[in-house]
Amino acid sequence: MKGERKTRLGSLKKGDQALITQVGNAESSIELVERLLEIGILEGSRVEVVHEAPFGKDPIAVRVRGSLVALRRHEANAIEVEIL
Amino acid sequence: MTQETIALSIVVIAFISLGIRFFWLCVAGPLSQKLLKRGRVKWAMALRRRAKQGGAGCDGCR
Amino acid sequence: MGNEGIENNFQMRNPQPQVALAGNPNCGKTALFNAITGGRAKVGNYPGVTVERKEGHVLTASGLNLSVLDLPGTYSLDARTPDELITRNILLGIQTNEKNPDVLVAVADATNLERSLGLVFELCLIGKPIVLVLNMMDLAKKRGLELDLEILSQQLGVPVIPTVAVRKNGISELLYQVERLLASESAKRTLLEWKKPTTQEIRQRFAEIDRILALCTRQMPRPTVWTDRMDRVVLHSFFGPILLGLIFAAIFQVIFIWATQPMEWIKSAMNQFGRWVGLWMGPGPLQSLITDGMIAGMGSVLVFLPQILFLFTFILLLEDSGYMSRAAFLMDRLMGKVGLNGRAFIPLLSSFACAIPGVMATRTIENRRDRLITILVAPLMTCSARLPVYSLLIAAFIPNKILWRGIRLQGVVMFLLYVFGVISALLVARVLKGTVLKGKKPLLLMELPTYKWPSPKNIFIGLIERSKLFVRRAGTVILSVSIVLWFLSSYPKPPQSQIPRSESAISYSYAGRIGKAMEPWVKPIGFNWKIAVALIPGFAAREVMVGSLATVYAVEGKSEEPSPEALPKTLSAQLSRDWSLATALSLLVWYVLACQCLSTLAVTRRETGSWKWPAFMLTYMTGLAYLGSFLTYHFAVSLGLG
Repeated sequence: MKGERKTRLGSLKKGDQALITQVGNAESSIELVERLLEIGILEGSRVEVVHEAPFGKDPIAVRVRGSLVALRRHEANAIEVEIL
Repeated sequence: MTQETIALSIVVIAFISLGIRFFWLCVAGPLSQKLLKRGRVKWAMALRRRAKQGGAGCDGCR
Repeated sequence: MGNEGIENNFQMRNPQPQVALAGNPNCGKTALFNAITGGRAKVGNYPGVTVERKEGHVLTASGLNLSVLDLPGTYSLDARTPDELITRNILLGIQTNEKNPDVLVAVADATNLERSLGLVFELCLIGKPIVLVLNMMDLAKKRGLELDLEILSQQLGVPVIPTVAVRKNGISELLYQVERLLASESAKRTLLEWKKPTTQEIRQRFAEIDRILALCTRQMPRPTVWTDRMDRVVLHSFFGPILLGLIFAAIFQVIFIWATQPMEWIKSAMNQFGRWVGLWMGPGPLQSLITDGMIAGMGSVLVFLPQILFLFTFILLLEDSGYMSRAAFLMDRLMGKVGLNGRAFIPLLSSFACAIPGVMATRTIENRRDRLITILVAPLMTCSARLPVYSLLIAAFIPNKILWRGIRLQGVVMFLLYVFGVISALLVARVLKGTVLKGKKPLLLMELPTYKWPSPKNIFIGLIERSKLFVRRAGTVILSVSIVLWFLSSYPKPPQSQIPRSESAISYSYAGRIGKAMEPWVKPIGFNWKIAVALIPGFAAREVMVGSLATVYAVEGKSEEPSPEALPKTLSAQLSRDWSLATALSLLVWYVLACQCLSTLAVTRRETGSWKWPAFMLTYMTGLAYLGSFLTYHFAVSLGLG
């Protein structure tokens, strides 16, 4: 059975790995989408949540496409993923 | 030249240098605005360029 | 944007060929710049915005003198920040007063080609002759990168040079390629363009990058191991913040303790110098000017060079190693709670050294409202120029006790002053957020670069740059101000008939008269007229305050004893005699909160584009300082310390 667990990057926990299915959704601004794409967060890339910040587990640090990127969960919610 | 004469001339130089600094820092900007309004475009632009380049004391103070 | 007539003029007046470096942040561009130019750079600002402009020169093997322009690091040319806009304008040749560079050097991080080639693509589309540099090639190879440079070059249509900037490898090949391009036809081309890409086009860009990489790489670099291992501690929920706190505490203790010895050296050197001058020329106004005015004034400021250097060393180490962005990551939630941007962390941290680069660093904050707030509170962060006054007052009024295992009371008080500055900054930010127009919350989204061994050479170059700037400031403004203040304090002299007692000599002078006139205004906060006198030149630059106090008391002291020794040690003795503890505390609080830096106001004006904000900054800070001093003074008096 394929792991059809679709959710948003912002909901993942430390250690979770996922595949990015869509960058940008109904709630995200175009500017955010542009910035996400430019920094290398693209559809089809694997992403792993590597760190959660203290004081509330927000922001998070994810490994994607060779780099470590930090972003807030609110921003990460613009990214639709499929949990692996 | 007495000590006093030399001392006082140094003081004058110091005053002038501070005055120049003050000019570029504070006066040049608004002055160029005023000149623009009066139609003296050339002077105003020349002032502006100098002010932004040389004026403010701490360029690139990283 | 530009006035084309002026811009073309500029081209003709400056026929020297120019090469511009562009690339992502953290790709080692600075190291490359240093490797090419030998670290000598002219650092300034682009007019109209506060984006740092860094230009150097290099003499190539064939004798060509090239100008090298280091452009700000960006991820794209879509101008959301002033950095990106400036970069784009310069590359398109429409930046006022800037020549259009002849050749472009695109710098990419070889360990992360999948991302760093993104900007390179955008740069190639502009139409300028371009060379691609793959920097940090040694790290990439060590991590297993196997790349066919020929194929990559073919696919992209540009020459590709691998480099290891920190070891100066590949520089001569790079310069050779640059010269080739300068001589070639493509350098003459003037049709340059840029179109804003749609999100779909951005995706296509990266898809194309992936395709090319698949063709030319046999193996991509393995992910780093050390960065992850270190991050397990650095970004740990519990240990992370503790480490951060320890680092801060270490910085402060080092500044206060390790710097003392070099400071003593400088002090005694100044002392000695003063004695020589006294021997060489007999007593008189000139000797007094030199010893009590110039040497006392400048010396009491230069003495803090060691502390400032230590502080800057720390900041550079943290930045260069890659720790800074992690600190911003850890602090983001807390910063958000007080309404500050996580990216505000670095400007505010820089403000500990000097608010001026701190204000300039706010350019990375895209949201205008957040940026304004950060700029307005940056001066409240205890900048290094306040250190002279703090150290002086602490030395004079806080007993030199050791509290616990080598931690001194004086160090603790210093630390508390810093904390007070930070807290007031956060509170003011909170208040401003409630009153300044609301806007959307800005994005954090940033890269956490792999850890790097900080390059001692680059840090050294950075330190030299800063100390030159500091000394230049001390050399010009402070010197002139010390001279003027000496004059105001020494003239007019009281008539010969009157026997000069310590009080009357200076009270007769211009300075004394001004101070006395101000006295009723400052009496409620515990200041006397001498402090008032010293505050005025102290407004031009914070460091001047100590010098001016030294001058005021030295000139005064002269009328008491024949040998003028106006340096901080004796000054602190005089102050502890002349002032009450309440006054000292009141002055400390004033200094934490007051705006005593003309240059900060000037930079704020440049950064915000109008005088409205610097004026606001001056007003609110003065008001806050008065209130704080008032409360402190009366509270202290009520405790019996008056």
